[in-house]
Amino acid sequence: MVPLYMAFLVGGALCLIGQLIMDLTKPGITPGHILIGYITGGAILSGLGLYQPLVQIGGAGATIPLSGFGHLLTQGTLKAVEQKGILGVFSGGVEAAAGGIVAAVVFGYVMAVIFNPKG
Amino acid sequence: MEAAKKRGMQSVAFENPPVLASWAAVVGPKEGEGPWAKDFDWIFDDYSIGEKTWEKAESKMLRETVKLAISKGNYQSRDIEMMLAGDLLNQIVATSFAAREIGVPLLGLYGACSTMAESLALGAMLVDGGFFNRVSASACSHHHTAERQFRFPTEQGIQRTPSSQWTATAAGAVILDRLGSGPRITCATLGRVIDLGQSDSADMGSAMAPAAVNTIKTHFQDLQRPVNYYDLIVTGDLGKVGMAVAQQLFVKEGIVPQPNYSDCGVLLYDDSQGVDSGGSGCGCSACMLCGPLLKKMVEGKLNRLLLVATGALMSPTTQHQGETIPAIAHAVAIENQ
Amino acid sequence: MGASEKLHKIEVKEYDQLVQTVKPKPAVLKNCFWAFVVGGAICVLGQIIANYAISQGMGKTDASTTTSIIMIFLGAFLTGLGVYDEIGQRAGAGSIVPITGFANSIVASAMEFKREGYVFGVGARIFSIAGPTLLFGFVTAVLIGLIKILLKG
Repeated sequence: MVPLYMAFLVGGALCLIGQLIMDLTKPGITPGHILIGYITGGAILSGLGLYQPLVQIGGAGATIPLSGFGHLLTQGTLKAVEQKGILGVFSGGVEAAAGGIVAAVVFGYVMAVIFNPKG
Repeated sequence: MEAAKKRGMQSVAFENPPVLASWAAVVGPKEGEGPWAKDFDWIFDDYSIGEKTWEKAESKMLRETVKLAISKGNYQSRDIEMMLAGDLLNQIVATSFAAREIGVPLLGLYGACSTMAESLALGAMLVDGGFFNRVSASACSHHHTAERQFRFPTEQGIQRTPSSQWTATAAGAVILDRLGSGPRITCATLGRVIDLGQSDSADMGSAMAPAAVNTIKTHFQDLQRPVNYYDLIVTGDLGKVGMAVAQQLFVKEGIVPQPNYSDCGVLLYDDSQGVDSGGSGCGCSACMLCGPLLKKMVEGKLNRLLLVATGALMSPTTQHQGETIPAIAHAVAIENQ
Repeated sequence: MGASEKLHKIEVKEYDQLVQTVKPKPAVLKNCFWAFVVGGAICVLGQIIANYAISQGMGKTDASTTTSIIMIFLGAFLTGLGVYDEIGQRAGAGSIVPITGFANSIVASAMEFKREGYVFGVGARIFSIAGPTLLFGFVTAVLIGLIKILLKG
């Protein structure tokens, strides 16, 4: 199991990169763009086999940032491709991420019902 | 026949300067914690003002401010022959829904944050032109309605930059009368749309500074007034950043206002309130005028004021389409005579 | 390009230079510090949850999914309480990049537009900020899958 301080360092570093992008690029680069960059970057690095080593040393420090979600999507897709061929291209990613996506939708709905924005 | 009241390129001078017969300023919690709290008529202590949505709250705020200005002048609603007003919401719904309750004819205006000056200038023209005897000019804005329309949902964890501005939750209303006593609007300069290529919607001050300086320069030229004519020239909401830019532009254009130049967005809040560059929104200049500034005029501490409200004329759509931010500034001169 | 257009371009450039000298820059070091600390702390919390799940006998994949679900719940709950935006102002990327930030954007949109009803408000707007993220995630994963098939075959 990954030691907690490694999760802290890797996770913190990934967030730090995001902060640098936010502060040093033009205002046109919004947090939305950054999140897309992370999920896409994680997916691509995963495809190149470069993200799994980061998960092995950083544990949650690599899976909790949104790049970890991209990694999850890619790994799910690749596994499904091995088992089912081209059908796996379409179903693999979502299958792997299903738990997270449904949780986001359901908790999103529940919190919206219970709470009101305070501003 | 030549337009006898036109002056220079973009200005008008009033033959019988309309009187600011009464006025009211109403603000939200943050403004009520600021340096001018005692100069506002009412301070609401929560953003919902007892309503179910923030849009309803904003509309209520505008409606109550106009009604308060009417009653402070000892008028009845029906004495007010025309209402000129505007806000930041799509289709200026806060204004329309407020006017529905007040029941006088409405001219809805959109000038972004320059709306207060726009409504005062137009209102003065209607009165001095002999079209109406008594009109109300007002504007309002609300932090949460502006945030959710122009930027992000209010509970989103975004990080503000040091050059960003805080939309004021505030409203101001003035009743202009052909007769009576009080400070008067003597002239106005209507602005052109100026765009010098800024596109950061979190820093509208930089986008609007050129428009403000352009209108002020045109005002001096059109009315042949020297740079030290006014006791105070105040821009609407350039904020600290926009104000610093404007001050450099004044030097460049050779028109540094004397003795005093300031900005409502900078004045409205205390540094400790965490508003970065300062306040913005139609309500910012509206409440500063109808609160502290007119109070000082009545007390004789200010006799000649030039209010230059500034507006950033972009929309979320144009922002996403990568457009720059065009801006406008309108100036009204208010003087004790 | 006409003469007046050229002049305008120069004006625009000069003005932007003026603005950049006046505009305050963000406190990069301070922001980076907080992004690192808060982001790291959120990941540590995730690691603690994952470690606990594994110690209870869950496989690695299931532990990972469980951790994601719990973190998403936390992000959603803190958003509902109105606390996440306060964290975000200080932590910046430290609160946006972790999956809790993803949950925050979903819940913030859903809560905000509840006033417009559940169908066109909550329903239509719930993914207005998270949607693009998922879109590009899916598209990228699919492309990678297709590339793998091409390379294999």
